[in-house]
Amino acid sequence: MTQKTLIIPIAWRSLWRNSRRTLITFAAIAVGVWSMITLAAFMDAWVGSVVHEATNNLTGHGQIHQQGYLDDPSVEYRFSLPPASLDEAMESPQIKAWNRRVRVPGIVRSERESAPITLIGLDPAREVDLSFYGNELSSGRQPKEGHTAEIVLGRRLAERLHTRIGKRVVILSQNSSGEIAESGLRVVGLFDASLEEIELGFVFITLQKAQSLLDIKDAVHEVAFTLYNPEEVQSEVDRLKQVFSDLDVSTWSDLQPLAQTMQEMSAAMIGVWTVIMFIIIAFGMVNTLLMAVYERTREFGLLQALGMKPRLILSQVLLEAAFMVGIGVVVGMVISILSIYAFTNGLDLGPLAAGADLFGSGRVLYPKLDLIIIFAISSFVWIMGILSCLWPAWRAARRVPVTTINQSY
Amino acid sequence: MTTIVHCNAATKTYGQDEVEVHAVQAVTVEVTKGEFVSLSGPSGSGKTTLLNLIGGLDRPTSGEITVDGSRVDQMKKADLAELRLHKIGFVFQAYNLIPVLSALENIEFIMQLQGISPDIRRKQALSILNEVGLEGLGDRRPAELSGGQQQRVAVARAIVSEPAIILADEPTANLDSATAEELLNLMESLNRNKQITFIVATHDQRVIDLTRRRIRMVDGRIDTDVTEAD
Repeated sequence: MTQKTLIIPIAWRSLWRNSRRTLITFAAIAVGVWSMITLAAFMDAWVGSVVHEATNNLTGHGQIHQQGYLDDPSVEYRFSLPPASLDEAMESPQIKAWNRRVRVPGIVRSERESAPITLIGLDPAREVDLSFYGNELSSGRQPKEGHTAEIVLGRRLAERLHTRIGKRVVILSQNSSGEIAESGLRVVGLFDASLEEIELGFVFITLQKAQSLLDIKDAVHEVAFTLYNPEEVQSEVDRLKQVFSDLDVSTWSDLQPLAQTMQEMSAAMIGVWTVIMFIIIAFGMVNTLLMAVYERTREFGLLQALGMKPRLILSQVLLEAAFMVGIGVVVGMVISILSIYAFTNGLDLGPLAAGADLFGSGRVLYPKLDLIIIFAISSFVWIMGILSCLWPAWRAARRVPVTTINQSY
Repeated sequence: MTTIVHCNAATKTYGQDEVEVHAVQAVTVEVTKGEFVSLSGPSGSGKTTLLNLIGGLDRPTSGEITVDGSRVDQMKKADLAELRLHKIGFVFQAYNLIPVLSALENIEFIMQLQGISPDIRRKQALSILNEVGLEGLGDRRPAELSGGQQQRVAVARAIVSEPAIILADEPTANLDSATAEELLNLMESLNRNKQITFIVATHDQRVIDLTRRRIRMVDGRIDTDVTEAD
């Protein structure tokens, strides 16, 4: 114990022999750790945003469709389930919200313009906790229940159609017989969405109105659901696949492969960046310690001459590395936490938002302080940093006293 | 008398084949407890090499070297470190103090390696510091001490754990004459009063004159070995 405590002051004070070099190394390690942790937090926020946008924009955490619907989302790939059996299947403690929807392609036409859209028939009250459509509309109201001839448009679609609340539009789609289904509907509400394509591409009517328009009785095209814990999605989907063996049950990542790819790409980028930064840090540390060992060749010989065992010299150099990397890591952690904390209320991408939109991200990113990630990255750098200094430490420990002690400074 | 050092045909050869240098050639010598021995001779005569062989800092090419009953030439690296820690004190020409430790910590260093408790080693180190005339300078780092003061710290470090022998290599070479005189008086008094065995490799005639046994080396061999009668 006494021998081990002996090396602590020597290691600590040795760090400050060349304080400028030590401070530069601290700074390099701190900046490296800061960049790793901060990048991880912002990439995580980015992916979180992409996933949130993907799931919140009507996808949910999972969906049930008729086989073939995802390849050809037309009226014919509908399904009809006895309400009791669907209720029973969806009564899971994991499922937070679910809703049945009619969802078919169509065209909306105003007095002046027309646009391709996806026509959705649903019960808006059941969209709470399921999609953005469960939130309040930006103006107007939801269509009244039943077979009401009322419709909600995206604000930007309304602008494109040169229409507004109170005006009428015509919806065209194909019914179950392959005939053109057409209906005149009054605009009663407008919604805002974070993604432009949603505002331009979706219109909402009641479920009953959609079913009667398409002549599909009580059939629907999809059942979407969200979970309390999104991590459980695969097990929940597996369960539903057993219940609805003849239907297609998908996870959000099956339905939104771009979001899934972004998530995987982000994890890979964080990994690659961590490795690159670590290699840079490791070179800096090894260089610093090699210089320190080289400058103190005679001293290490002296320590051995005085009776210090090589193992203890190795420990001393590694302890110096532990101090050096440790301080750099702690400083990096503190700066990272402050950097992330500064943006916990959101980082508005501003002019970059349009570009972010292309990748499915929202306009505002919310980086989180993930202590596990912070601890994992810091520990990785600390442990690997010490290990990378084994070589200089080994060089110091194998110095033969007589060849070093008689060298002049 | 107890034998502290015994060299039997100790030989050290550097290099290989045609460029071999015989630094020490079949030296046989014995040093007993309490002796004050000088090793002198021209540069390259092998005195420092012999000192390094006795101190286990270097290994002989052939022959036997025994220090306080232990065969130095057969020991492993870690065992040699242990032997040096407990039985040998070193004083070097260039002082060789640990620059990041204070004078007192330098003196305590050996005792700390030996595992002596903090209270005892601090007390002992302070006592030795006073003994070598450095009272009140214990907190200074080596860079804040003069050459003579540093060498006194080195001597204090060498004697503090009461080793079987102290090996000093040109201890006065970097000192002015007054400081060298003081250091020699210190070593002489430690030898007389504490019966500490010294082997000093030196060119300095004052050191040679002070010692009671004078070994002169030439070309790696012992040329003369004279002991002064008390």
